[in-house]
Amino acid sequence: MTNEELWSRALTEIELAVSRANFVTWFKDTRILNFAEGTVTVGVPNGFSKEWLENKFHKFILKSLRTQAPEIRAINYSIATPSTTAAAKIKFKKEPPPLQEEQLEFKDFYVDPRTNLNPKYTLDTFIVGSFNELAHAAAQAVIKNLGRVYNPLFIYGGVGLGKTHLLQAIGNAVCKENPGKKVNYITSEKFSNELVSSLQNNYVHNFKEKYREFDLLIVDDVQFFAGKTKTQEEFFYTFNALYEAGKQVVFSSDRSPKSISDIGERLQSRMEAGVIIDISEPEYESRLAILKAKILEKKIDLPETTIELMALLIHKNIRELEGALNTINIQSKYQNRVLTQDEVKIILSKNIKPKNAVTPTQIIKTVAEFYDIQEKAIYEHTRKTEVVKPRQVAMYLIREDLKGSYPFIGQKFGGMDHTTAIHAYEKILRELKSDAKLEDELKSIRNKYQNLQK
Amino acid sequence: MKIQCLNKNLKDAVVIAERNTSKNQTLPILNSILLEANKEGIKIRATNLETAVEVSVSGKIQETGILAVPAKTISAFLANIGDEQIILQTQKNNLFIKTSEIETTIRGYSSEDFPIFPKPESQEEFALTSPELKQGLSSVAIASSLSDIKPELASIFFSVFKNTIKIAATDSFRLAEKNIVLKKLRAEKMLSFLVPQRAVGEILRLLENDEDIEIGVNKNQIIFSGPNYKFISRLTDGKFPDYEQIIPKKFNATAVVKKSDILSHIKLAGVFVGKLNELSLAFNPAKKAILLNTSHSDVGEHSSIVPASAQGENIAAKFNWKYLLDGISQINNEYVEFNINSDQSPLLIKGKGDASYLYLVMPMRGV
Repeated sequence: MTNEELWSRALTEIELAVSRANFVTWFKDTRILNFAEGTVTVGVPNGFSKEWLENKFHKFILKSLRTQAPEIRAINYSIATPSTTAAAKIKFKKEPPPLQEEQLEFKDFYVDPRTNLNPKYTLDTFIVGSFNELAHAAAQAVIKNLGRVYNPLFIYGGVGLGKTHLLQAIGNAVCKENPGKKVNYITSEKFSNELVSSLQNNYVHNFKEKYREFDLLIVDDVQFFAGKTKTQEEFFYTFNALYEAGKQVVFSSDRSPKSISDIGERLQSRMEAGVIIDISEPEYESRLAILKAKILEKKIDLPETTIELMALLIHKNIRELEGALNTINIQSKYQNRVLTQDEVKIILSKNIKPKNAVTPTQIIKTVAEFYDIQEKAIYEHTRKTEVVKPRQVAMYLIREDLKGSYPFIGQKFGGMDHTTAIHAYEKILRELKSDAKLEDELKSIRNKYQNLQK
Repeated sequence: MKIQCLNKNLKDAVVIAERNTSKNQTLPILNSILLEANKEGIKIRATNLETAVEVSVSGKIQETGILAVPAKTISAFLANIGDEQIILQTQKNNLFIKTSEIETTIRGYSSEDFPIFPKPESQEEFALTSPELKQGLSSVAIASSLSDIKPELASIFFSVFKNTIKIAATDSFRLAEKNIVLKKLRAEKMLSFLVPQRAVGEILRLLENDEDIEIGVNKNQIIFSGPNYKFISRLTDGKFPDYEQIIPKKFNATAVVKKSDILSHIKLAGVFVGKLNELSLAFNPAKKAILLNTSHSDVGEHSSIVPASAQGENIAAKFNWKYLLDGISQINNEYVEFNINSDQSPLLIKGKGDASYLYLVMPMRGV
């Protein structure tokens, strides 16, 4: 017999013995919280019910319970809020009043204060394509077997590719499936701010306890832990405590753990202990699917050709895709007509950074800075390894990003032969396949010179 | 029970108690108040199972005893018999009342059925004076939500740490926060809890001038103890939004204006507000003024210029004029300071040079 059955049988008996009014008033929202070793703990909604049951109905309740389960020796009463399911039911009945659409709200209040999760991020709205299907599968595995597979789960990828969405969706799904689980989502920056303020106010102890009781801890943007030694140390202990207790931890970052500079080796190796998955840039079909989903969600009306054009023109970033969609939508609403293809192109071209505005010299300069060598050393005919690699990387980037011809590249590098350029390009291309570190390096170099133009 | 007292004292206590009875029809005893006379004095109790109140009445006890009587009957009766001396006496389950002119019997209930008050268990305690508490609560309560859909927003948030009590409330459109610093207070552990807004409304009515109020809190309930009353309320279960992060620290425009000026101008502009209660507020550093604009398609248009020392950018935003009025009225200062970043970001209102109170309100869409 489950606790619910036991209590409902006892209640039917009690109901016969007390007046209807008394029964409704005092036994509403009561339940058995715990039943162990002959002691039953009854949860009651408020202090008054507690006193009343304890003082007036105790014998009654004991008798009724013992006819069902004779081993019961004692009953405790404890104030407990009605279970979440009951509370949820009440909430459903009351429809929220029609919101004054014109009055703006504090944005952050949509976030659930207990978990810091924004309920709008769910797996249902997460669009899966080849660029993120592995991450999605891992997320689902984590939701089903919390703490047992893929612990910790480390997801990385560039900005605006849906890391936060996936992370929050994991949290929301776990909350939904197991309402009892304690879930917390936090950005690394907030973690460190909280730590600092707890240090200031002398309640580090509360801080430590708080983070150690979660069943699922999601830490977003861990790259911002870089350079914060004390935060890293505190986080390291928290992580260990959770990990040893079999609790799930999920991380995200914009690069792989290896390439986060200034992060302690201990923490780094912990992050690598589970599974590391990257989210790359979405391909055309995924971009189209994402746009269509957004259009459905926001109830925007745009012709198919415009959507296709947008998916074609914007490559990298899902957030940019969303921004462009909003811009186009506002423009066409404002002008009250469907925009032509050319108009869409013009609007988008203002928003998307021009692809080829970077010059070969800029690339070379960034590469030199990145590998910490003199810029002019790259142009010299030398075979020192510390110069050869940067030079090859620079050649590769000019070929790849600027579509420079081999002879042009050779000329650019102090009159080298075009075969040197071909060799460099192919070598890097080959190494990229096997060397993840090189890939990260290229990514951050690209980030650097692309940011130069903003 | 047999007691003798002045009706004035009794009447006041009964009125307070009546407010805390339940409208619940299932259990009639909850519509009644409990009269008790014992060696500690004469006490009147009432509860609706959410809040409970106990009020002491001064008077002479000739016999101790206890009885529950319907609140509505006795309060209506006492309100109409003048302020003279009365004698109350139990006769079985009836209350017999006698003055020089009147003899009355009111049917009561056995005290056996009256709810037992929850005992204070493992509670944290602190004390403050009634003006501090009253000002703190009333200046913040205006921003709390009237709807029960989100119980944490229909509550007032308290946070007690070291020597500061922070009181805050928000309905997600606006937010008010008051800081009370007490010399005597030494809270080692951070204590935070949520008091339902209805209970706060009741405690505000109970507070009188110059009393010391003791507050006791545990996980589920709070007790306010004054010199001749005790008020108990359950606490709201839930977590208040992490509101401090939404308070902006830097601003693009600031304006300081005389409180009486802006208040009367907003009220004036309020005559012409549209259906959505929108009032446009423009901070204009060039003109050294705040410009107010309202219009209603049926009533007319209105604009006014309030001289103010405005600095920073030229920003205009629309607000619900009632929200503005609510916040500005709570400021206890000759000059009011407005701070804003853009027409989509919150407006921060506070007294000039007064960090203890702030009021944050979100604008309305579209200018």
